[in-house]
Amino acid sequence: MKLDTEQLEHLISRRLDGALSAEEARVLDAALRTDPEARELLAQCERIDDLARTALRRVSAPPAPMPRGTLRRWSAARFVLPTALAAAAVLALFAIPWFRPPRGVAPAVDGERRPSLHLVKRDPDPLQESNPLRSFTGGAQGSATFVDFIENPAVLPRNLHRRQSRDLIGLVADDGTILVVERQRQRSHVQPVGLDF
Amino acid sequence: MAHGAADDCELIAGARRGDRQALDALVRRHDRFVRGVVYSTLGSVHQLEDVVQQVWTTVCQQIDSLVDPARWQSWLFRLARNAAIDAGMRQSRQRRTHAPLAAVGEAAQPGRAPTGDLAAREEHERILAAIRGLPAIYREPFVLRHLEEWSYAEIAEALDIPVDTVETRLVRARRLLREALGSLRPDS
Repeated sequence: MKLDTEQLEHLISRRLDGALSAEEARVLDAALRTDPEARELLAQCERIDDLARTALRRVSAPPAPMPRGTLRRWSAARFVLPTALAAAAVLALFAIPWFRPPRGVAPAVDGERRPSLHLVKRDPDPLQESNPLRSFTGGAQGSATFVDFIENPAVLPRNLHRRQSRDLIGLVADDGTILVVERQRQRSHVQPVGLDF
Repeated sequence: MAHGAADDCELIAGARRGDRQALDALVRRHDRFVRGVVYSTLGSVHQLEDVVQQVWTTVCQQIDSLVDPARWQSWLFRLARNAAIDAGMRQSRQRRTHAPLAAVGEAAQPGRAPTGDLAAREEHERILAAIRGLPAIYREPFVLRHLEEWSYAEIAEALDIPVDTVETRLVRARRLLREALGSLRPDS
């Protein structure tokens, strides 16, 4: 009697799982002797089981422990490194403003004090062809020149989450006006946030 | 199941008394099992380490609530599975809000890729992808069977389904994997 595919699948599955009874084993062995499709099916299932077993055991294996020497060194580094980094950060925080020369101060027309802006030419120029800033500033005929991403806390948003998702970009026009635009990194959206500093 | 239930009962009793070594022994003994359950439920290695850590933390906190230590592994299975389901829900919420990052998920798993030739590595990835692609009702019994060599009865008890259903789901899991994988290179 020739078994249909579903019967074969059940018997083969039970054999692979070690759940085949003696009578079922006799039926399956007879089918395997006479039916090449049954042999092919068994070979495929065995192969898939072997591969799955190996892959699953690999993926669920705990990460290998570090050698003892590495562990000791890491333990020492664990305390030394953060301390050194924290000290460097504190030093940088207090020392940099002292050494940083004033740069890119916008022209004061009326004698009023202007916020100091950090303006340095940077590549690539965001006013290049594909950038939405180009159309915003008037395209090739636009009078604005890209200056820099502004890093002055006076014009940066206070919300740190917003800061992560947007750039504030300073553009200096021919008449010295500084245009600050906000570029949304996620939405490629540009809008002015300040004018004439 | 791989380990003696009597040994587990002794370790559980020790852990309940606050014996740190007993708890460590339980973790060493069953960590692979927990990882397998979490993997089978999550369907990916993303967050695997975090969820496994969380499961063992929960075990430490709740081991006193285990009524019958003889059924420790079923209890552990349910704990791991629930933690993985929660993590999976959190993950899918994050995917909805950070869709472009979702594709990164499986890419980088340093140290996990099998050594050996490229074909074997590709085959390893293919079979894992095929297992991930199985519906959960087929993936869970398949993973439990292949990871821990659980019997139909043990899987049925853990998943709270009849033994016949376990068998049917294993047959269907193998069929779906055959269809998904097509031709595999002959065993070398």
